[in-house]
Amino acid sequence: MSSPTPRRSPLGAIESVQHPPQEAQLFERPFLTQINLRLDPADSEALAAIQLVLGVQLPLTPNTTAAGQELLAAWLGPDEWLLLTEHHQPDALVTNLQAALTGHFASVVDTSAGQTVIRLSGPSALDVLARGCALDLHPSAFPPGACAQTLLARAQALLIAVDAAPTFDIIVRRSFAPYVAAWLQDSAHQFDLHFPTSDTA
Amino acid sequence: MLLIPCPWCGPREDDEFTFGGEADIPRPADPDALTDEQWADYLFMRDNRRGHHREQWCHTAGCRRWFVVERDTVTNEILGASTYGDSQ
Ligand SMILES: [Zn+2]
Repeated sequence: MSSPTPRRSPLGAIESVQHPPQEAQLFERPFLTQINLRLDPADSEALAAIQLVLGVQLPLTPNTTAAGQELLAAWLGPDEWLLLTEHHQPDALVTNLQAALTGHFASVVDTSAGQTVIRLSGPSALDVLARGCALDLHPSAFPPGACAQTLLARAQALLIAVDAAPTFDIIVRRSFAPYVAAWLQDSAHQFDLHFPTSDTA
Repeated sequence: MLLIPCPWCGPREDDEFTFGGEADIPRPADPDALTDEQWADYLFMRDNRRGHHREQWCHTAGCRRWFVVERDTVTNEILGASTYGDSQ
């Protein structure tokens, strides 16, 4: 048997984002399990079955997340969610969800390798994002637990408010990740951020 | 810049949306029964109204749902937005 190909995260080649110093406020959260889930929100039986698997109720309020012990569910649309976790392997979670949804009109897709999560934190995070995002992300308008799909520096992104530091998780497609990371680094240079200098990766 | 009220996400800037033309044009139930002229009319002909207009938008960079916006084509004032479920 051939040895498995080592995994490479979308930002794995950018040392400063991959192995940040302790005080860094921008880094990648690589290899999270990400599952796209679609089902009819009127199908209460399916919602209940999913809750048993996930340990958390899917959020039905637009642009909100629901956090369980081991997993975060983010609203993407009236019948669409993103599940984020570091506690479950994608294959196992997909299998469990598909089993729970047998006989229901639903879709479960593993998108873990297709997008990545960039975490941005600290008092300047709002200013860094404001240079490329039209949304009001102040905690008074976008409190912890809120999420929004929008354009960040013209790239499609899902923003999740993690805490009131403020801390954001920015989820972008794999092919956009180096661009978004470089843009965030550039934007951060305007502010007094504890931030690793950009590599020429 | 238009501020378009997505029925799910609330007001967002128009960069996030795709325009889908005039609303309320039902697909013919039996296309085979139409003449070429009737089919072309369904596919291509639009009213291009001045003033109050019902039109389709998709929140492409957001929740990716299509919905209906009412807009004044002279002033660009947005008069309302609804889902297809609301209007049926
Ligand atoms: Zn929307």
